[in-house]
Amino acid sequence: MTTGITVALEAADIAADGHVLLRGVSLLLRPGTLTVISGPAGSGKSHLLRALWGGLPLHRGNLLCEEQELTQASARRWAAWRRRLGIFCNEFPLGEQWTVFDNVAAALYAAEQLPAEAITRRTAGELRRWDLLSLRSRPASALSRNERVRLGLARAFVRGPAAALLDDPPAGLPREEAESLLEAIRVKARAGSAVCLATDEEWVAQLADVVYAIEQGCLKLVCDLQPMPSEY
Amino acid sequence: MRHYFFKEWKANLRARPLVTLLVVLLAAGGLAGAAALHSEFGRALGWWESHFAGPFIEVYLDDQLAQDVGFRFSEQLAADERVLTATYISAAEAQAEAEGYLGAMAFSVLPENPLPASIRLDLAPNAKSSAALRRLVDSLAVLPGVAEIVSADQQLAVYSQGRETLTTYARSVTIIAVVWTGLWLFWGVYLIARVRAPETRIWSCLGARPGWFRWPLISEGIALGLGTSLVAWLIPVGNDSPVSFMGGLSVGLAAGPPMIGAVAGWLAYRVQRVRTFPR
Repeated sequence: MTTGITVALEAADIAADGHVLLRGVSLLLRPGTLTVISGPAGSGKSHLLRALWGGLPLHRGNLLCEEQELTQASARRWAAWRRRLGIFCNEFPLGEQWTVFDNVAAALYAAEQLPAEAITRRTAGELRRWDLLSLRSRPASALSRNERVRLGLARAFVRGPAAALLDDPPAGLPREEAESLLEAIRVKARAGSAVCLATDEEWVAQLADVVYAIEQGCLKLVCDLQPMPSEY
Repeated sequence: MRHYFFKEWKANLRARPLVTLLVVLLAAGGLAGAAALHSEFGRALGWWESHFAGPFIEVYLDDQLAQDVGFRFSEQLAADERVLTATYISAAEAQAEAEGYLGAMAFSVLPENPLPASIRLDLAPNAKSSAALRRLVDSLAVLPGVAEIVSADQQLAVYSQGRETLTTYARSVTIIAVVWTGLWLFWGVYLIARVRAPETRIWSCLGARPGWFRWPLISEGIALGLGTSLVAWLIPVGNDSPVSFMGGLSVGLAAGPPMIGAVAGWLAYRVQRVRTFPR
């Protein structure tokens, strides 16, 4: 069971290259919950996720993790924050020349002082979960689109992250394969992670516990199937 | 971390051996050239010292002063830390010396030897300046038994100026060599950092600690520096053997480049950090 955390954005403006994409964003990610952010391509979903992992400074507003302010954190604290996250996004590429195994093991090497055997065991376990164990020695550059997505997700979840930020993993995949991936992601969320998934596929929202939608530069809560904790 | 560090290091050496070798050769070439120039400066300085060996001060003693008193006086002066040697020249020795220049006939017409006894002083290296000379002359002038003091002020000024010029050139060459080596080592480590940038970005996004990026680059800077030291040590210049001409510089050559390499590695990390990391 993963120990999830609560992540909140409060009245945040998200800007890229001096242009404000999203205004007054308020978002809450809760442990054990799959939150979906839907919106058309170019609406600012990816930038929203980047702001959550520290790849994009907030123009205005606050980012809170377990009620602790992260907005003005030092580089060292942001690195510590990323060690608690599982990230799947375009700005976070795979090591193309690294093997499938090394790509996943890297997440453990970077974050934890584990003995090599433990890293090997956990990496192999995660690869098995995502049906990648037979490809463990293959370089990432030799994988298909579906395999690359599964590899990215295996890397994101191998640490048992407190929160996972996923930027449109089903994009470009056949519906059947995408559904199977999303089911696996839902299982991860049930295990305790606060999972946030941004997508422009409308059907994905049906699988979510909480759905936000981006409309005309604003983030709106569409539905919340989970009861809000009393402190929020 | 160690696992990935050595893996990356090995991969880098295997992928870019020529660039690494070129960086080491250029850095080492600068150092060896500087060492050779230093050697020449050393020789020039030695020649300059011997050319201006002195004596810089001659203390003429009273006629009345007995020879053994004058001799003891010279021993007292030799004990002064500003004095390298103090040679007592008796009146007879002075006459013999003058006859050597002028011929024996020069003194034969005189009823008695007109030359006084004297003490000739060579100055210690740290006292070879006009100010130190002036202070020493002033302190000697008040001593009993001293009739007159002749000092080579002008000669000493020329000596000091020449020595200062040589020292300034030697220092400039050292600074140029250090900057040259530092630039090449920085460039070598920075190239490694640039090539590794995509992987650095991945590690950074995974939340790796700053030491994860910093120590490999600093270590590689030190390794490049050690390679530079080794090559600089082995490059022969002229007919000198590599070890002999370096003389006192050998310690600097062995320890300097690794230290410069460490600084270069740290700088490369800082530059890379600004360019690659999300924050």
